[in-house]
Amino acid sequence: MKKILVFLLCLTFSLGLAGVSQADIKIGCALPMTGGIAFVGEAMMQGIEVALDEINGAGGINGQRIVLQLEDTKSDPKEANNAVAKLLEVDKIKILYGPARSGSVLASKPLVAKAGAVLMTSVSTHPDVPGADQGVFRTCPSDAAQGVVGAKLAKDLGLKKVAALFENSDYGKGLADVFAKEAKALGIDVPIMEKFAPQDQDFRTQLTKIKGKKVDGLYVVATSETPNIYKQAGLLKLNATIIGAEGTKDPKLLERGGESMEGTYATSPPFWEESPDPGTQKFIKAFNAKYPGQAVRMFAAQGYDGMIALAEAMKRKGTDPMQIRQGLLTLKDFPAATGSITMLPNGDVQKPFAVFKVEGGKYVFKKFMK
Amino acid sequence: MTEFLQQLVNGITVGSVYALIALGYTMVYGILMFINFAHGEIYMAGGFIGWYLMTQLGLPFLVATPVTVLLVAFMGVVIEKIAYRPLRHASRLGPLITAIGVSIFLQNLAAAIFGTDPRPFPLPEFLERNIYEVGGVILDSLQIYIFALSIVIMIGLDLYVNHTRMGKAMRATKINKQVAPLMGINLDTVISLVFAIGSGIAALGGIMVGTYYNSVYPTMGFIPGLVAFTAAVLGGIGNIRGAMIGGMLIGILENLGAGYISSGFKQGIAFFVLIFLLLFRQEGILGKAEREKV
Repeated sequence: MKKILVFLLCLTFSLGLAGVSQADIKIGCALPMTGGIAFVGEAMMQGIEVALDEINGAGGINGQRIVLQLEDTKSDPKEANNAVAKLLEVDKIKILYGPARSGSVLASKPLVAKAGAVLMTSVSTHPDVPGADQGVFRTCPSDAAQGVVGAKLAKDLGLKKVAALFENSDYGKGLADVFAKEAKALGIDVPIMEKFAPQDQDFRTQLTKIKGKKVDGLYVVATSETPNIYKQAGLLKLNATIIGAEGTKDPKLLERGGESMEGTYATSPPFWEESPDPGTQKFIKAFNAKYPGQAVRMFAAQGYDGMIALAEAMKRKGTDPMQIRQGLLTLKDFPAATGSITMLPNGDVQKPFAVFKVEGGKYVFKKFMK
Repeated sequence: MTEFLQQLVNGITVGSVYALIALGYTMVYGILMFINFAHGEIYMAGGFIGWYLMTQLGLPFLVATPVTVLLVAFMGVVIEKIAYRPLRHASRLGPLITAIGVSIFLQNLAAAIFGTDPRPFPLPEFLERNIYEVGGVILDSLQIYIFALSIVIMIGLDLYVNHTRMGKAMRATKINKQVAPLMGINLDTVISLVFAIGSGIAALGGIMVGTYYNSVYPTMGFIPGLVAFTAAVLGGIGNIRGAMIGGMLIGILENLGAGYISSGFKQGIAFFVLIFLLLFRQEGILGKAEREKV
């Protein structure tokens, strides 16, 4: 306590003397620390702490330390909005981090724009989340971004005619649409787009239709609950190369899908423990040093990424919200824990995805693709 | 053409299972004039108990299946005794709402005991899964077994109801619930028996579907239950042969509709049929239009 007092005294003294702000840089965090998605907030905070140790340990931003003011969103969109409003209006903090849910970020967007602040989010994947003009940026790619990678992979594999089979939800449809658009742009024919209801177990109807189109590839947007897509495709002798989006890179799915998944491809966000990406390995090492014995969650890595992106932007252009906005837009191939960050002009991020192939009953990493 | 036949094969397989579930709806309705909305969950219970006996207790398929059928039949009887019997003389809305309650209760019970993740269902150890190709149409040996077994059960039930003393008692109760007891028929026994048979058959359906799709999960009975109910109405509710025909038809329509209109409609087709039916032929295919007795 004494130390802090002395420190504060020195600080005020130096402030008074120099007349230049050498104070800490305050970042307002609105994260779900209690409630239904508290595990997301907790993991993100772990990652953020790792990032702060790294940044402040290396002397902060030109000598200024980053400190956090944490507000709990209680996993509730209404509370998230209140938390953001409080940070902006009561605490007068103009650099915000969070909230987690896309809906909460969307609700906060007008507040951030009005205050001329900057908001970074690192786990909200809804396509409408980012908006550089309003000051909202993110370091996790849009839900739909993976569709582009799926189409490019199909092209790389020499596929000519690819069907899409997707879960009938906003997420599934968004991804499949992006895939189809990109595939067509690459000269791949997409003769048929079939959907299924979440929790469906019978895909024979759709697969029979797809088989009738004589395709050589199948793009699947599904989750671990759908091993039957692979099994029934095998039973119906579809004979197409299957490429799955991230939900299909799941050990549980592989366990249940078994042999029927052999030779299929899956794309996924580039974060897993054995990743060859040096950015990922650096984070995992730092995480294990700080939290020995704890499992590294992807949310932790994403939490880390958002914070180091903010810090880097401040280093490059300055700590004023407008300067941070500009700074973020200069990020290009900036190394991070979940794949390098390239900020797009609209505030969205472009990241590589990892491509896996199932070989010998295991997901074998093939390459990174953007 | 190949595609059409393939969709037909897919539809008949699913339709066989719908038919099996529809039997339970129709038998109960025939006698009690109420729709047992928990029937889909009975089917789910069959799948889960079968899964539990086979994978957790390691019983062979041929032992686990009859044990499951008996357990679930017993469960059906108990549910009737606890949840429906006290309401037998209440307004018709009473047992209907209780049935929805039982349905939600069973679903959550399964989720609480087994978790919500789908559980992989084993293939019967004696069964080899072969794939036959006939003129481009692919037949899975499981599809053949499901179809054959369903037909055997349906014929068996039809014979039982039409040619045994208990069957006669059921038919008599169906015709008039007030007079049947005067003829020496024990109403409670008949109703318990109907629940036991309907539940047992649904349990078998649950096991067959578990095997066919290789998975069971707590909400697996909800949609098939509603679809099978539609099938029962389509065939003429209260009519056993109608339920069989209705089930097959819905299965086929569902697949052809999804195949030739849009797969997004797949789950909606049965209900579209239901609405259409209620508008134009409420008594269903084999049902007789009955005047409400006042």
